[in-house]
Amino acid sequence: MKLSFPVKGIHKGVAASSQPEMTSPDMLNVRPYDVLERKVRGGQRGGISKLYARQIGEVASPIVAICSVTVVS
Amino acid sequence: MFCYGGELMANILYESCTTVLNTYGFTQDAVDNYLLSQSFTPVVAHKLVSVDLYLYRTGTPGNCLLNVYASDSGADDDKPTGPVLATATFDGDDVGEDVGGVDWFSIELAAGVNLTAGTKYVLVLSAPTGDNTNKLHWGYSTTADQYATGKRGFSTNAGVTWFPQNTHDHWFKEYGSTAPSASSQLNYSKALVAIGGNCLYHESPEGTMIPLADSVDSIDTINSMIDIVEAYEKVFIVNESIKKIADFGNIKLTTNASGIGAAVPNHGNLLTCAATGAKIVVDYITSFVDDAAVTIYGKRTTSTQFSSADVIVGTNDADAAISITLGDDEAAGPFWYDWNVYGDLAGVDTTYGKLPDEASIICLYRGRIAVAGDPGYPNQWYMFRQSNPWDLVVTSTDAQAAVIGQNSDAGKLGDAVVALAPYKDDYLVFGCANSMWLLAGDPRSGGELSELDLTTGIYGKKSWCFDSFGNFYFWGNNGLYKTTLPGYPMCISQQALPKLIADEAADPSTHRITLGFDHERNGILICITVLATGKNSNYFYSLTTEGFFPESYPDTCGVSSIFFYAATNTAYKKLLLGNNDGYLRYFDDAQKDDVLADDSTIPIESHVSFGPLLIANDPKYEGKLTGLIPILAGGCGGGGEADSNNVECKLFVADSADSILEKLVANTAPNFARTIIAPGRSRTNILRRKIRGVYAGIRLGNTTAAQSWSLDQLLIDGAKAGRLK
Repeated sequence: MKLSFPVKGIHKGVAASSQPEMTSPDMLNVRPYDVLERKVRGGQRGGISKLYARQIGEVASPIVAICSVTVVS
Repeated sequence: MFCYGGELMANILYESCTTVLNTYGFTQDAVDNYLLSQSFTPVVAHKLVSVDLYLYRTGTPGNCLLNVYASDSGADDDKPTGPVLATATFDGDDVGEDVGGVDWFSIELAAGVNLTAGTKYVLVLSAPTGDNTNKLHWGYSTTADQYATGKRGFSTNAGVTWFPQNTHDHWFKEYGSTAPSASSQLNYSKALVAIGGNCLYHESPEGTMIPLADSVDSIDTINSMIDIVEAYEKVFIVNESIKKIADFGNIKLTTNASGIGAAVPNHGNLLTCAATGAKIVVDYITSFVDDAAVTIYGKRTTSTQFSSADVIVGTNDADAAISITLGDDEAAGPFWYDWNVYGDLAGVDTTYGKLPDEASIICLYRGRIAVAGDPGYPNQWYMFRQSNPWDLVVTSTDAQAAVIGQNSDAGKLGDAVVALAPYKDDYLVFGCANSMWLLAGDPRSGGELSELDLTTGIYGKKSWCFDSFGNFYFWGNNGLYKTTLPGYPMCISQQALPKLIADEAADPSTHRITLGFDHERNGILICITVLATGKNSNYFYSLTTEGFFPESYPDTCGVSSIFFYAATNTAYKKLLLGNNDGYLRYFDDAQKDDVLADDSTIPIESHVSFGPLLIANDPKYEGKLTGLIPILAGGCGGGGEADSNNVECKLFVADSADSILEKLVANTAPNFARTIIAPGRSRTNILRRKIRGVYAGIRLGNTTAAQSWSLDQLLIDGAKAGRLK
């Protein structure tokens, strides 16, 4: 039997004995595209990195809204 | 952050200080750690490419440095902060010797740096190997603040602390390049804006977020609902009873004490200073009283600036002659001010309508700012006049006039509006508490409002997104829905995750659900976060494989907002996550852990389960697992394929499929466990032990720091072992 990564994701909607092909009953922090080569073969998700060094508001408080603004010079 | 179309022009002199030379400051880093600085504020956005400094040398100072930094703000205004934005090394021995040799010395900044109009920067001069007899001297003025929008400064401890000096300015000239002025060439800047911690931050310069000083503590991001939208070179903010504008495009003029005069300029009027030729298109004026100064915001269309005592004239919409005398020089933004209707005589302020008392939802549709979320009228939405966010007069009858409406069949009270989701200028989805409505076209001119779905509402104001094909996704009554516009929403999570709503138990008063389309990975990110704690549960829905992938992040990285930043610099063009700890993050394929606020990392707990698998292909029979060969990604002998790290492999067997499920989820007492050595295929990874059972389940996972993995395939050998008794 050859099994590939369950690229169709988590599936909890049928009897356990009828688990659909290419699905998994339990998974966490994995994605269908792996981060090593961006191939559809499954693997751990990428990490979350800071893009900007500065903390918004200088306090540990949720960033509640983001947008961009374009200005003609 | 900047994009210039066409070829760049030759260097142009932008900012400078060249008047009243009084004395010289000096550098001698190696001995006393003396550094010199000069802050400056460009009026026009440009790329800084070279700087002239008025210098002479003593002895042979050797290689010297000129660095450009962003300026800090508030109490630390005029002090360098953040990373070096541009740098140049030059031979200080080439500078003219002794005071008799003083002259302008040109320093090229090889890479240059794009500068934002109205943002302050700091030049820092140092001679790292200099000493008391080998140093540079930089001329400066101590008289009457010769350069008003910057200051001379110095440090005596290698830049640890700085001392800007009021009214003192080093002699400098900064040159840059900008786009040709041909009308076919576009010249614009783009900056990120983020709101949190009761204030607004904006990107300036590229890669650095700074607070808009006047916004600090003037909004409530903790206890009140808030929403923002970009329009007309501004960001409009609705924060319940607080309504604000961050204005990045206008300049500000202030009249003298005589005020606005008898003829009041209207939105869009062109005003000209006859003496200088400076022109401004009026955007907004504040409410006023007779014989008192008035503030005018507008877009200057000339390079010539306005100055105090300028008389500006024009004609208003009623053909009356406008004549206003300025009381101050023009001021450059960004500005932070109250959002109100266009200024009128205070106390008689009805000409342009009235904003709703409260609002917490906002969008831009067909050039109209639309708001909703007034708790007094939760069913009501308000759309401002097209191209005029200051006019909410609904009694006008022209096609561009403002509109107020609700969504319901005739005679019924409309459903409470929860979200406004515009798609181009074609459709606006009104996400309501228990229904979804679609406006096609303009509400004043041939538009049509119809039901999109009367069986589901939307969870929250940011619980939606569009993919690249224009499909609309939203979190509704039964989970994740998808529809075209127009179309019929279908719950696409119901089959795979039938208990999704019950399992997540999200409550709008405590949980935020945010959706975002990840262009790079072609999927929808769905983030469910408890705002108070950051505790989170998330899903990546792959549009390629049409599957849901659950995810969890550290509590401090709980997602409270998502935005795809279409930055002109690809380094910042990413799906951004606004996190619970106040940091902006993104998914980094090169990063194997999650990065916390203090830059420490936390390993990602990842796993996937396979099964339940019928070992003997017949549930009436036991099977015998005779071989299990996990093959991880990567070649065994190095080469070009990136290698996986190891994974933990656990094998469970049971007589029923549900028992396998329970064992996989509990992740305890496996029948067999082993670390699978990566990469590729290895003889040591082969399981040869015989294990009996009807069903098998396999769990692969990794919780190790600085590791990531991916799978090629699992190979399993099994055989029938006898009827189950």
